Amino acid sequence: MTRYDLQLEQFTYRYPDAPRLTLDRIDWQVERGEFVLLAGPSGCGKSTLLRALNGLVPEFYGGEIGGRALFRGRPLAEFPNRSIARHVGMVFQDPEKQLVMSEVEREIAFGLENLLVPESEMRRRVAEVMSFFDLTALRHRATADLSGGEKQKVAIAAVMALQPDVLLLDEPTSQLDPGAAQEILDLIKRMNEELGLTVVLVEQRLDRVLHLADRIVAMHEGRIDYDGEPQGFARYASEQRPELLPPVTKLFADAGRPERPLTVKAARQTVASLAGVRPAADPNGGESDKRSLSRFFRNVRRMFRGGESEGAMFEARDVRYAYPDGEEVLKGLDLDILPGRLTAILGPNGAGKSTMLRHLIALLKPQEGRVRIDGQETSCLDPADLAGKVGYLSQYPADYLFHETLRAECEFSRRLIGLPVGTEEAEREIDAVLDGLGLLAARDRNPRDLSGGERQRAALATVLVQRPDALLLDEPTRGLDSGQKDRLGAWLSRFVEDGGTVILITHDVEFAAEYAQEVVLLDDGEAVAHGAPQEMLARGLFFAPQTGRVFRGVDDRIVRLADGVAALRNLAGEEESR
Amino acid sequence: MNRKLFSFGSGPFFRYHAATLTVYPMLLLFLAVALQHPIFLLMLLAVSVLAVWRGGGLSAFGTILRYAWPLLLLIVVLNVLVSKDGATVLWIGPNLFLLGKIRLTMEALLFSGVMVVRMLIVLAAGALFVAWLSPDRSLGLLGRIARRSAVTAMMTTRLAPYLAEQSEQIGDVLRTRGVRLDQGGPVQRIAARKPMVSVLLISALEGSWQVAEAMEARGYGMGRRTSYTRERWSRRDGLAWAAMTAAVWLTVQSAWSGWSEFVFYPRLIGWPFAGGAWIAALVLGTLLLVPPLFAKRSRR
Amino acid sequence: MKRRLYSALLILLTVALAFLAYTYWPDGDLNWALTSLFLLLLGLGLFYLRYERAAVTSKETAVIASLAAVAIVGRILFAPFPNFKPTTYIVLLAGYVFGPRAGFMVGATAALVSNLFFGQGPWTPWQMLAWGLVGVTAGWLGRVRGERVTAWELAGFGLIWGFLFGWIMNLWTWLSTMYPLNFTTWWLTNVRSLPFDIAHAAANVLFALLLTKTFLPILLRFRRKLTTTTLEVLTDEKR
Repeated sequence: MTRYDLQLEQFTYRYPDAPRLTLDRIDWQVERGEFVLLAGPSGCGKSTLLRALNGLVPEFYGGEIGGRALFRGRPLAEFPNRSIARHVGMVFQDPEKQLVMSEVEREIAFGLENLLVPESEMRRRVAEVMSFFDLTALRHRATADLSGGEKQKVAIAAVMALQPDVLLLDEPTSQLDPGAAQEILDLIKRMNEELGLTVVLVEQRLDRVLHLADRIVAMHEGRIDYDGEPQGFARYASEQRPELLPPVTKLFADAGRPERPLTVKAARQTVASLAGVRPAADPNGGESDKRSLSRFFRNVRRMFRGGESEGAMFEARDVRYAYPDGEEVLKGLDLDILPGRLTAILGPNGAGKSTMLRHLIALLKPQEGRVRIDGQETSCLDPADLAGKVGYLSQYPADYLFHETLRAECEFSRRLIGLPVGTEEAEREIDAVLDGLGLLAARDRNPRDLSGGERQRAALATVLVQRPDALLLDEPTRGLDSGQKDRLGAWLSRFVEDGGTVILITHDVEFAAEYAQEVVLLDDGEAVAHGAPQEMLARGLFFAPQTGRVFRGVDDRIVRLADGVAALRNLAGEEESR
Repeated sequence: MNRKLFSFGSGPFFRYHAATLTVYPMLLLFLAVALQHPIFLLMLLAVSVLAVWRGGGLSAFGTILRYAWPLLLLIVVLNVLVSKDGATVLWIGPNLFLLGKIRLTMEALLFSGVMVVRMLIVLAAGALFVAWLSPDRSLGLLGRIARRSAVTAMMTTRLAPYLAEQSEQIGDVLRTRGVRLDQGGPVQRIAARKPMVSVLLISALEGSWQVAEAMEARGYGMGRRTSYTRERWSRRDGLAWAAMTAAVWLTVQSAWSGWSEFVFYPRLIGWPFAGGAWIAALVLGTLLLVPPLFAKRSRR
Repeated sequence: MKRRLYSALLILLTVALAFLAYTYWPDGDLNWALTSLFLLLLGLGLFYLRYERAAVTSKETAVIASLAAVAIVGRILFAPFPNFKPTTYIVLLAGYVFGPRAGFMVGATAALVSNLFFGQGPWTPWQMLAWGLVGVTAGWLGRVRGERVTAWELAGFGLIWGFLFGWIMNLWTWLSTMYPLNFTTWWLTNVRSLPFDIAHAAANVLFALLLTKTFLPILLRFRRKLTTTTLEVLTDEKR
């Protein structure tokens, strides 16, 4: 008996019609009971590797294959008719697209039915799994009525009912909000520790999982680039793939420090020891002159504006809104969004963020109070009237893409609001938008063939070719890897610099801290606070970026990574000079 | 919200095996169709309405009737107008285009009345089936017989609410892109919805690929599969099945010995009703009352 | 092929038997209501049996379920237009592209499940049969016409089915509550639903003309992805 649960031997794979290999001669093993984290940028082949471990690649996808994959020394090809599911379970990214049955209990039994588990045994296992995952209260609920987190939990439970030895997870939390994501990750850890389950996890947000894993594997262009323990990974990534680093580690790497802390706690300790026991530094100490200058100008501008509603592009006054089922979501919302700024709206689930955003694009009309966009009341506006002025990017980029080519998609957008298409000028404009988003090469491709991050940019392109002054984005960072996030942030910043206005609602505090100029905190249907990220996010308990957490008590005005880097350099400099 | 349109709500749970709950309304349906003796059919109607009441489906039955009354009217009118075979003429009408001379006969009148009763039993049986067997249980039962088809149907029930929700989002997105869904004439408005259907179709196809993959990851192959069930066979079911078997036997016996024989045209045969008919119909009704009377509902 | 021959033979036999029965027992003696009910259940059962027996992949199952769900949800998109739904057209197209077996299942499943949501009744099996047959016949048409089909052909096909659908739904009412069973009562029964049938046919035509050009390539493209799974083993020199 081998000590490995899973083995790949010279595993090579090419998807049908793909130009190049997705996996290139991979030799790799997973030991029994291990918790392995699989990292890498989008498109590096980590999802494919995961699918190779339970035979979906190549059984489901077809294509060309070389080498072999083994489970406990037995080639996967020897498990006929998907019976490998008994040993290797897999949970996918999107909870909506992996639930098959209409009722929770039946969903859990689905896999057992496939594997011909006898009836009495089936009932026992269903009961056990439901108890372990605390699902008994949901047993008769329709799967469609569950929340995203609950759906993902049911999906995991349904796989665990098969009592597999290995669990493969493909970004199981990328579609969930932070609270639900944490719950799922805790669950995975518990299964690994209590049940001795071997876990292979693909995850985009490494900061949430680095401390859980025994081993980290980084992939790059179809090959394994790093394979080892977490500390070594931090060193490897800061040297070769800085985009893989979690924010805290990146902070130290960028500041040129030798330490590579992986958790906020470790980072805080380092910072505290650097700062010594002296009191908090001067709040602006870590900032460059340029930045404090810009803050000065902003304050001056604010002073001149006087009354807050002057010049606001979006304005909500005492807005109340209740859904037909009677639940009041907005309870007297007051909000002013200034033009030419990037405003991030944060808030817990159910605070009314999406409802508010839908009011700002006239998809919903206030039942009480009023909403004005550029001075115009929305109550008599059709959302279509705003097209070309205010662009809206929903959480689901795929909803924007249904034409044969990306160019046709953009032309459809322009035609809708009467902009010319087909002329040289129009072509140039479309090309310019696509080029700015790095999509020029994809212009004549079917937009549905693009990857997740590209799809989002394609959707953004269809909005931008209408030349909007303002952009409203709903959870734009969901499902993006950190490189894609950086690119999106940089792009949005440029849009704002060119005079555009951006409002985004997000759960991603890091992203808000890094790129927003204004932060609005929404709670229970009201805007409870509004200000610059430095004021809003610094001493937050929940809405605090990791950089801010690291410097808590040392310098409470730091929320951005760059500020943190500067502060860290400063601290280090002081220490040396002392 | 569209969501509401696509949720079953959890109705009462009846403590019978799903098979019993399915076969009983079907039996009512078949008996209604097999018999045409007025006494038997009236008895069946009484039993069906009682059963619908026991099953908690009276309001659903009412809704069905509200849609079905034109059909019932049609049955009466057509039978009375077209049938020329009756012997007991009550009234001779004018000569109508395509229909010829109208002859209103007692036989046709009685026949149409009996047919309305038959249709009412059929509708009641439908209402009863819906009322006491939740969709989940009926699909589960289908899963015992036709496993793959049941999986397909269950997937559709799971996907429909999801797609309904998605279609709402798609509509929102298109409106913000500048599509005007509610402007212009009907054809224009229908054409404006074309992108909505396109996105929905493409997304559904894309999603089906992912769902299929998730199914295979949980061992759904082309081999055999078992079927999970919570249905339990109880003594109550035994009683119901005994009563139903006896009812079928009695129906066959009645046909054999002529108790349930009834001919409408050209002249009524079997009228006035023989004693055998009365007794047989009463016993049949009593037997058929057993399953609904012993039905016990509980919340789960 | 053999199996297909069997089912064709069986259907032929059923039709022949029905015809014979009708000529031997002109009316009265044969209980048409009961007979038609048995025939209906037998027919549905046969189609389902075929699906159960066939080697249906998970992908086909998922596509069938998804298309049936689209057909159901299509009703909502056109909620402002009563009696004007794309359901039949989607079933038709599904059958056309994915063949008679899948077409039947899409139609029957759409009927079954939409009635689960909107209210089950004795009409459910008839709807299942009617929509199922839309899918089956469209599948046959697809075998003949393949990818060359024009929107007008599908529109014509939809026009016919708009009426056939209504007639199938009325068939049982006619058989089980009318006397005598002759052409006069038959067409009079159908007069009642004529406005609905016309709307249905018009909807099919309109949707066929409106959607075929975009939908057919989408479905054909997906079918290619679905059916051609090639598995090759890489050898060293190919790398």
